[in-house]
Amino acid sequence: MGTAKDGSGQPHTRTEAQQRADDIHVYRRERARLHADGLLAADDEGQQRVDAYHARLLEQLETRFDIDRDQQASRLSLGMRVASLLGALALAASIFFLFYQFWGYLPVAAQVSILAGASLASCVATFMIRARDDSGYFSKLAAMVAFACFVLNIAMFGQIFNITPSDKALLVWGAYALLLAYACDLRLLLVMAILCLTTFIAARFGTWSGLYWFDFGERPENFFPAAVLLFALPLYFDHRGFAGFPVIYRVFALLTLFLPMLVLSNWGYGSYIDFDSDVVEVFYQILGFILSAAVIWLGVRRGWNDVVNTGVTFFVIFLYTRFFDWWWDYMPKSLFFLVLGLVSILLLLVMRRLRAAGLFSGREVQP
Amino acid sequence: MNTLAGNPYRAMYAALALVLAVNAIVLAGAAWNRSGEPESELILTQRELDTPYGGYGEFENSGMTLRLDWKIADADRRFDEDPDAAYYGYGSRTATWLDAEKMRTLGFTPPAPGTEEQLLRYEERTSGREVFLVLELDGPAYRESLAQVGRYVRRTEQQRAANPRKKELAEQAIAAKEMLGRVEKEMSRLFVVDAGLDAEILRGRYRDRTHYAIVRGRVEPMLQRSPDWPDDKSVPEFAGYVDSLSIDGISVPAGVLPSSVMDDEKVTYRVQVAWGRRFEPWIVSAQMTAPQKPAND
Repeated sequence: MGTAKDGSGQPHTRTEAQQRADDIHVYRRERARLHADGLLAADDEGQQRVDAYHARLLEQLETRFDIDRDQQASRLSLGMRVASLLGALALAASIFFLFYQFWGYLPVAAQVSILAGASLASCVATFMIRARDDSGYFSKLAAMVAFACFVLNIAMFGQIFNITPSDKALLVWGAYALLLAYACDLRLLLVMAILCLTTFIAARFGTWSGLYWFDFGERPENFFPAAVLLFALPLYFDHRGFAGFPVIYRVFALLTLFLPMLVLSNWGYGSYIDFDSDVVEVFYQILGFILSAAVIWLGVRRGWNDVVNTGVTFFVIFLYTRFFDWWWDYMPKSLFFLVLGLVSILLLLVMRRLRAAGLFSGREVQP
Repeated sequence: MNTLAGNPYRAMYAALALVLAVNAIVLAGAAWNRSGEPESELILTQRELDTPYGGYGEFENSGMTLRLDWKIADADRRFDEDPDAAYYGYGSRTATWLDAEKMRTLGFTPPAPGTEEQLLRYEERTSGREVFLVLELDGPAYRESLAQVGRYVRRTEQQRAANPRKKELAEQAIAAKEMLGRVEKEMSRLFVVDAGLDAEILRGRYRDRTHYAIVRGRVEPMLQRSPDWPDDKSVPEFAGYVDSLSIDGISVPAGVLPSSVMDDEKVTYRVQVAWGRRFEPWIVSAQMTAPQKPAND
């Protein structure tokens, strides 16, 4: 975890640097406990060399990557990340509204020049900021502005030239966001890319099956191919150096799989399976339970906490929606919620028992 | 995937290349659409090109867009039976020509006879599709609407004359005349009159490019049930309706029309709209015209 791409042990990204610093703090805390318990000598020469090395390393990492040296700094960093995210979204919105406010007064040539120019300039600015900003906060802002400029660029061309709406816009937006995400190590842009490309893939599959592209949501199964692709990507492509990317791929893969399944478990008409809607709904209800349980098992075996948590969440959602269907109209509400509470406690007890029995002990595997 | 973070310049060049390529493709496509002779060119007025729903100035948008206001000879709403519904478009946008046979040519498969559950499943599962539509300007469809309103006016007049003491018949006759004025002077003369999958075949049928425009639009299937269905054991009729045009808003370039067009309902204008090789429209020219006398005068 947190090893550099070239195997030297030196971190190359802020995330790796922060992980290294956190590991050092954990090491120091455990060593202090061992000293207190009398298991380690306080004046060991080797330890002193290690302490000096760690102190120099922490200073270098802080200077180079702007990492958090302690818990207080970590809390402040969290605030900075939130501010960075909100700032990025606000700047993106301001780009849209600024252009909308003035574009009607400009001739077409000026509109085209400004839109294309803003896309190109914001792209260059993003990479220039990235080259100077190791913390990533300002890169995130710049990349989000660049993405917003490109989305506006293509969307407004469509409006200016009255172009027939097409799903291909999602493809190019997604490709651009993906490029920015990997070039600048930005999870926010990866999320944008996944949203765009997932929608594009669903629209394409909808078109191939005879739907108008905009109606892809009428067949939730159109999202399944994208779910498989998202889950497989981090398995086949090395993501060392992109901390957090595999988690995002997996979580969105499961969302893309389970949300449509949840819809189909309540709306059988929307399935490609041309069968009685009640039968289709039962099929997807059962499949939802089976797959969410399988996902939990897989997550535990591979050491993917994100997968376990997502699987548990959807297992509970599937369960609660069934309870609602069966009992909401027939039980007093107090009894209904009591049953939900008792089932939750039962699930906790079962999972604790299984954990204690070691049935879910899996090797720690990171992609 | 090779990581790009190790070489920011390579990533930047790739991003710039993507932006440039997409812009070039989009602009080239727009230019190609407008190249050569337009596929059609219609002179529309404020009757056919209206301000968008929600009005101007929403979300501080300085851009102007005019909305194509189109009508259809609705099989369910005739001017000589229910002029208000026909004028304001209440009810589904079915058409006398969008029958089962036409729907088959558009690629729709009607449902097999079955129970209500089966028919409901058919309706839930069958989606619309994008086809080519024919827009007719000031043609037989509009004149038929005028004729229907004329018949309605004459009928209400006869009823009023036969029962001069009945106040509601007098009011109905007045309302009928007002409706005739609105249809003559305010209602859109743009009607959807045909649909097909092949634009060339449609153009072969409607050769006048100054009165017929071929555009993309969406047709949806529907099952028309009788009011007493299923008690009367009738078979629902398979038909279709025109849901929307793929592009019904046309951007107005700066300076072509004053912004008062968006705010003032009384302004009148003529706009030359062309449709190109991709059946995408643009405004060629526009001019303000003298306001006509209101329909109610």
